[in-house]
This record gives sequence, structure tokens and C-alpha cells, in this order.
Amino acid sequence: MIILLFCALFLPFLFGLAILIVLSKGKKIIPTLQLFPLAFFIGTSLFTLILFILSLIGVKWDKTIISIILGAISLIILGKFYIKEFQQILKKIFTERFNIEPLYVLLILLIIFKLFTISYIAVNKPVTDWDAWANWSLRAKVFYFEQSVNLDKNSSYYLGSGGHLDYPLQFPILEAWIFTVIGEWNDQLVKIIFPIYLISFVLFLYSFLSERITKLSALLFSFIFISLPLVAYHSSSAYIDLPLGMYLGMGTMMLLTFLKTRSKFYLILSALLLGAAAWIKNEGLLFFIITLLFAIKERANIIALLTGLIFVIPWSLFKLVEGIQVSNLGFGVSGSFLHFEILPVILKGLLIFNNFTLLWFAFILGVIANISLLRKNDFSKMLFLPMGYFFIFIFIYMFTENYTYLLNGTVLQRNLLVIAPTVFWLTALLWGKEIE
Amino acid sequence: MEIFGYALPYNRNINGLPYLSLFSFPVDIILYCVVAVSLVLILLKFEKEKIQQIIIGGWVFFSVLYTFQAGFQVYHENRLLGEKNIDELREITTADGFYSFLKNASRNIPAQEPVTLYTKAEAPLYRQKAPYFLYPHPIIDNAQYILIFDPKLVTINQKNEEITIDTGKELLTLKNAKIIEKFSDKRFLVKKDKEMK
Repeated sequence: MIILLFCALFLPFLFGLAILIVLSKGKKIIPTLQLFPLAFFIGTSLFTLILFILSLIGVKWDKTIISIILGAISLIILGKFYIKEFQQILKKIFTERFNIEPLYVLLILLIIFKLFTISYIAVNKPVTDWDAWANWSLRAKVFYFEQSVNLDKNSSYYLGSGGHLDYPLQFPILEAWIFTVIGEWNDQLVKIIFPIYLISFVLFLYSFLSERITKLSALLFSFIFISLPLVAYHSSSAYIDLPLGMYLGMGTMMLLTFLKTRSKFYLILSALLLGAAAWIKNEGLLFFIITLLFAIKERANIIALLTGLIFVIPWSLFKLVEGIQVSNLGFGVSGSFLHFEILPVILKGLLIFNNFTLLWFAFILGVIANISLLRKNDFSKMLFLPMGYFFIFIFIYMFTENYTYLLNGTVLQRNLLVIAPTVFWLTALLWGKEIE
Repeated sequence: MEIFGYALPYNRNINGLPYLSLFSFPVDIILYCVVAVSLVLILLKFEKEKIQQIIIGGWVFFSVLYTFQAGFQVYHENRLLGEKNIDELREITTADGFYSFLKNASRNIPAQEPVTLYTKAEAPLYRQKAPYFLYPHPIIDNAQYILIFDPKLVTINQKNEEITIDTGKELLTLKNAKIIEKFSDKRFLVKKDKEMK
């Protein structure tokens, strides 16, 4: 079953890799340590989108046919463009002598140990947390048994049922695909996808940071990230907040790379990742729009930016046609609009260490420490992005009935978890080098 | 002796974690000191490198602490859950035998047949979690098959085929209700023929 699980995840990865190779026109533009995580992230998003579209046209998910078709397409593309590259990478891995200092070895061992603990804690128990069994994993179960997204409005399991029909479907479909390939509903084993997303993100983070700061600092920060308590905890749950945050983090990292290089390839990657955020959770759409506006202001190519819409349009259009409204809003239902009582709660939430240790402080201190150096450059402009994301949350709580969830402690830390990866890499750069 | 507070899988929830403690000493106090010292040094315009060492050094130190805490957590969870199969794990992670009740009861419910669930009014968790385990049996009101799980009170009148349920919020009487399976004094699978009052 482990092999089948691997196959279930390998196909979207392979497909993602093929797409990236096509986008880069076969040229080696980005390091492998960034390419593979990107392939996994974008591949799983695209793959689940394809499964959703198959459901829309009434096609059941046949694992054999889907694997053969998508696998063949991917292998043909990869074979055409990348076979020599793969051979060289494999040769390098097996023949090159790695001269690694003891401190690096220690850090790598700590990282491996930490990732092992996260993975173990993830798969040693089935889905246990509320939103997972009430929404995400419930829908995954329904989609698995029905071998499709349930589109029958008269059915009790329309769109998988659960609390929020308007929520996007990437992760329920991905989990359902895994059940399909392994041949059973196993809500214990399926949780491994979350540590895998984390591992992919950390590899990407390390590679991205090591291009800009020392390798030792990059390794230290990579270790720190996976040790953030709530990051580690969510990587072993079946919640979607952290994956959403990681998509945002990678998308914004690619955006910075675009601002520095002005290469359209990075802009497209950024747009795809941020667009995929809208296929993960509803607030992802707001983040995509904010980042889109930011990028347009920075004179980014609009056509390239709009590639992100490939993830936004299908689900948004579907909801429009089906008349599915956004849940959990309720402007002024209680008769009040401005909920200032959220502000002290937010402040208190930022001042505690138990979820993110030093992250918020390190970020603010980093800005203060570098204030005289932060001129209008690409990096300092990026600092406004997480603030923009954060203000989206504040806006929602200030003006809608969701403020009750903030007051009762059920959302704030998870919202912060969404912006944490973005804030983290910015913090790493603030402390890792002099700001030019 | 508990070295790390919250190494055991209790008191943690998805919305936030409790403070880590080391030999019962809350580590967040040390983190506040790191922040305070760094801020003072920044304001006093100390070399950025020194401040960087304090921030990153302190942060790495706590990351190592959390890593070892995770190791202890793996140890504890393995002791609690290590040898169990998936059904046993679902049972442990679902309160009060609810999972096994649903699993066993649904064996006697025809495929796709909807069910009604009565349980304690002050325990909405059961009502919320039931769909996850009961699929493909949707939960509706006034179904023919009724699951009764630990309401406040259950009274059975076998002669009249009546079952009275007190959920703590409402009092219901099921008429022409036959008990298909009794799991305990307050846990039943029931089938009724007529509308209940």
C-alpha cells in the first residue's frame, strides 16, 4: 500500500514537472531543489483541477486510465526535454563527493529528525480534527466512494456535503485520488500528504534562501521553520491552512525572483501558485487579487499574471452557475458593523510565543533593525504583501459576523499560520544579510 | 518525570498550542527576554551582527528544544497508539465508543438508507461527526432508522412499542418503534413505522 500511495502522489508530481518543463521551454532556469517542490505543488493543483473537470463532464475517475494518459503525456514531455538533465542529476548524486562541514551535518540530521517526528505524528492516527472530518476529509470520502465529485443537487452528498459547499476542492479531490489508487478509504495513511507538502516547501525555502544568504543561514532558517510549533502541528493534521500558507509563501518567493530578474517564467510560476491558492481555500482568491494588483503596480506582464486564473475560473464559474454563495460572511447580520473588540484579541495573539515562537517579533525587529537601509527596493516592497494579507483578515473580522470566531479563539492563529510562511522568508532575508 | 510540558497528546488543539515548559519552567519567559534584549540593542544601535546572533541563536535554541519535545511526543504516542489498527485508532480518537457504535449499528441499516440520530443536546460533537462515519447514510429528521446514542434518558415501553427519549433539550416519543439492536441501556438502533410525536 505504501508503494501505491507513492504512485498516487508521483503522478501529479510528474505531471507538474512536465508542465514546468514546457513553461521553461526545456531550459534549466531554476535549481532542482526549487523545481521539484514547484512540480509537486503546481502538479497536485493542476491534477485535482483536471479531476474536477472530469466530474463536471460526467466522467468517473478510473485510476488506470487517468494514470496511463497523464503518465504517458508527462513522460513524453520529460523524455523530450529533460532526459539528459535527469541523467546528469543522477550521476551527480551518486558520484560526487560531498564535502559537508560537521555543523551542516548536525543541522541536516536535526531537520531529518524533525521531519520524521512530524511524519510519524501525522500517520500514527486517523483524521481527528473538527474541520477535517466535518468538511475536507468528509468530502474526500464521498468523492472516493462515488469516484467523482457529486454534482447531484438533490443528493445529501452534493459536493461532498460538509459545512461549506462553497469551499474549493483541491485537497478533498487529492485525498480522494489517493484513496482511489490505494483502493480503500484510509484516513490515517492519507495524512502523509501534509508532511510531504512541508518537506517540499522546506526544500524550496532552503534553495531560495541559499541563493540570497549564506548556506548555513539558509539551513538554520529551514530548521527553524519546520520547528515552529503550529507549523509542525498542522503538518500532522488534515487542515488546509498551512498548505494554503505554503502556496502563498512559494508564490511570493517567486514574485521576488521575478522582480529581481524580470523573467516572465518566474512571474508565471508566481501567478500559478497564487492562483492555486484560490483552488485551496476561499481566502486564497483574495490573496491572489491583492498580489495581482501589487504585481501590476510593479509593471508585471498582465498576460503572464492571468495564468493564475486557470485555477480561479473553473471553480468560481461553477459556483456562479450553481448559485452557491460564499458562506461565513454575514455582513451586519447582528446589526453591528465595526467590531473594534477584535483589535486587543489580535494584539494579544501576536504577543504569545507558543505557536510561532519568535516569528512576529523577529520580523518586526528585523524591519526596525534595517529601517535605515530599507529604501524603495524590490525586497522592501514585498514587506507590504503579508501586511496586505493580514489586513484582509482584519477586514473580514471587522465587518462580518466572523468576528465571533476570532473572539472565541478558533481562527486567529490559523489565519496567522496562512501568512507565516511568507513572513518567515522575509524575516530570514531581513536577518540573513544586509539589505541593499 | 515529564521533561517537556505538552509532550503528551493532550491539551493541544488545532487553534493553538499550550506553552512549552522545560522541567515545569515556562520557556516563553526566556523568549520574552531574547526579544527585550534584542530590542534594546537595536535601539542602542549595536552592531546588527551581534543582534542577529542573539535572535537566530535564541530561535535555533528553542527550535532544538521543540525538536526534542517532538521526539518525546513520538515516544508517548507510540506507546499509546503504536500497535493499534485503524479501527482501534478511530475508536480511541472518537469519544465514548461513538465510532464503534456507528460502525456496528450501520451494519444493520440497508445501503443508502438515511438515519436520524438522537443524542445529548449538550454534546453537538456527536451530531457533527456522525456524517463522517455514517456515509453513505445521510442524517435527516424523521428517518425510518434511528440511532440513539447516550441521550439524557431513554425509556422503553416494549408492550406498546414506544421509546421515549430525553435529549436534555426536547422530549420525544417514538411510536411503533422496534429495537433492532441494543448496544447498552442508552444506545440503540431502532426502526419505526409511523410518524413520531
